[in-house]
Amino acid sequence: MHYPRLLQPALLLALILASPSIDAATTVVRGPYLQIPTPTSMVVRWRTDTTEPSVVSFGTDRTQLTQVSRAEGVTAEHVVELVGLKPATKYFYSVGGVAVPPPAAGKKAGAEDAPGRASLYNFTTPPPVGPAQPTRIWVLGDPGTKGATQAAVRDAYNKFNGKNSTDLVLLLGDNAYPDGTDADYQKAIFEMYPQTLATVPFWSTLGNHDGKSANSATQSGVYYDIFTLPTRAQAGGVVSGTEAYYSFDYANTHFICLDSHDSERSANSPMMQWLKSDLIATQRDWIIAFFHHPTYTKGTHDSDKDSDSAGRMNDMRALFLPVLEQGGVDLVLTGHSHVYERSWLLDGHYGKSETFNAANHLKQKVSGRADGDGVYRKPRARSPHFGEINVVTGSAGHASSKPVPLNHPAFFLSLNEAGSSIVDVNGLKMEFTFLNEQGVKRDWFTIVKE
Amino acid sequence: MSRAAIWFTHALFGVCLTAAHPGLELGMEQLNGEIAGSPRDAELYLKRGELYAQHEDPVQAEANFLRAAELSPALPGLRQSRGQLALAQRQFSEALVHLNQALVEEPTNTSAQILRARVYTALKNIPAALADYAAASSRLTSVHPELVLEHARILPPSEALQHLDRALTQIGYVPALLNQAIAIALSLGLTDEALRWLDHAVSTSERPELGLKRRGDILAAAGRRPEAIKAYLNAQKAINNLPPWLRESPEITQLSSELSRLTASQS
Repeated sequence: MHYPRLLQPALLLALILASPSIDAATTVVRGPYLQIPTPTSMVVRWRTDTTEPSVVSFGTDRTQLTQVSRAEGVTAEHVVELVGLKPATKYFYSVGGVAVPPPAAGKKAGAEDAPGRASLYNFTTPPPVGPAQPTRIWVLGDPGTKGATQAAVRDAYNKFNGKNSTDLVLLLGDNAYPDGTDADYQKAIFEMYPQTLATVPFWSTLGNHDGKSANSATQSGVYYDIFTLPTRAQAGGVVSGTEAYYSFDYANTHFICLDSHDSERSANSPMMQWLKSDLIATQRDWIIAFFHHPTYTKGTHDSDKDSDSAGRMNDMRALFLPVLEQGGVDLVLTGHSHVYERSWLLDGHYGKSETFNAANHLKQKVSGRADGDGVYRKPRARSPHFGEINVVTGSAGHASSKPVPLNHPAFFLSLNEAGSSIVDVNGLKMEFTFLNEQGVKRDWFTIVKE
Repeated sequence: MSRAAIWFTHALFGVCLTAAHPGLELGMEQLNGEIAGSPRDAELYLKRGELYAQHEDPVQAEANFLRAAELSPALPGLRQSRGQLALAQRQFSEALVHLNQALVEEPTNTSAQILRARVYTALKNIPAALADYAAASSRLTSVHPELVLEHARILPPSEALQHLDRALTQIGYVPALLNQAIAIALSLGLTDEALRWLDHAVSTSERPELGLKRRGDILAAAGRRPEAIKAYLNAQKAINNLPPWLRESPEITQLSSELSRLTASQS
């Protein structure tokens, strides 16, 4: 499209002031939010109140969004993939029904011409896969209560994080109570984390409350409509063929998402066969697995009860954990139980809590704290059964209002407190923090590979 | 079980059961409150029945479904939920009645059609099951690997192979589909077909060593020794290309030894 030269600054300003949408007649009512980040691509999604074309204007200079990506057709649910990006590069972007016009040739747009804050967003592409790169991951388990506690947990993290960047957000399921409907998601996710969603890619696993409005077998329902997740290993790993479970790479970390709620969990299930293939295939230094139902818990759920959650916790512990341990997993993140529980460095505990035997199941009986009795140490060489930490961090929306046992012997620490978790991977060191809703660092540990 | 008996059981055990499952307890608390406020709202009973069904409590689930049916016999979703519950209880004839009705009410209900395909499979009415799987799959933009396998399992081997081949092309080289396709091809003596799929998976893998070893095993089993040796040697090369920290891991060291032994055994 050609714009008269003199009109350009005014036109650009007018377009931007009509934020959050470029088109004054249209309002962005959801997002934008980022999905499937790779070193060279990013999916940008948003929703408008009326249908219009889907256009993302972007560039590495905030005043020059000279690149444009479009999706075909006219819609209110916009999904645009940006390709040909540079790794580890900060991009500015704007969404709308038309492209932001480029500045006049030979003239750099002034600050007043630049897109306003409400409509100019930015993201940073992931670094190349393989080499180490400091990575911060914010982990939210069962966040979607929409209430003051969820907001307090969010604010505590934002204060803790300060001006540091967050590279990824992991949602551990039950993202939107009570039924995982579109309206639930609007309040619990899109209106709760708007700034973060526009700048940091979110990855999610399906929880039981999300499952009330979604169906893994048909890949349909609200959860599958909202999230764009890899089915063909677009971001690394092995092709899963489904958005219900998948894997991806970020720098030197391999992430594995399992569907503990709605996909078949038998020993020969497609998910299990995929998991085995995926673990064998990765060359990353670190493996982090995440899913909704915990392997161990004595919080608002009880992993010793076969009937609790229809046996899903048993399945994840007895069937999937052995495979993960055989594949050298380092960290297992789960939610479902609205507490915080963190294990020792464990291996081989697949039974009920009464079968736990410290002599057999603890790989290193230390706190994992550099300022305590020492960090956990693992060999860099991928070896089965060198131990992993299991974390239940299911209190990003609320902790239990009632007293809970919190007495599973596999755990080093159990807390009935609302909060979220932070994982920092830096080369061959992984640091973990649990931050409560008051912003107090309530647990921390480090794993070092050497 | 008679309706009176179901309601009696409901009244007797309701409190105990809800106390046993925290997830159920939370949802139930909310639904009980809503039902107290709107006791003739059939949808609330359907929701409560589904909650019980999710927690594998069929008696409570059926009691709530019955109440919903009394209040609103044509309530959307009710027939499907009752069919799903009956299927889970292996009451296939009853499941079929409900799912047939669900599909009369909503002919393009993909979830109900998949459930009915499972019922037909259990009743050994394979042509009807195949028709339902085909119709349901045709409406899905993305077919879950579990569905592809379910469908393939009731096809004759040669048709199953074609079905899996199409799925591998459409949704990608998913391990479960690949493994099934290779197993069927080998059972039919179609070694080269099996190798074709395996080679594709190997060519896109960051860690091809195990796939190459498997290639060697397949060729060895087929008596194609020189090709088997070549595959084992290629697997060894792939190992040599791994970064040292991976190459020196116990599993890879063990694999390397095994490859040497296999190569020698084929020479």
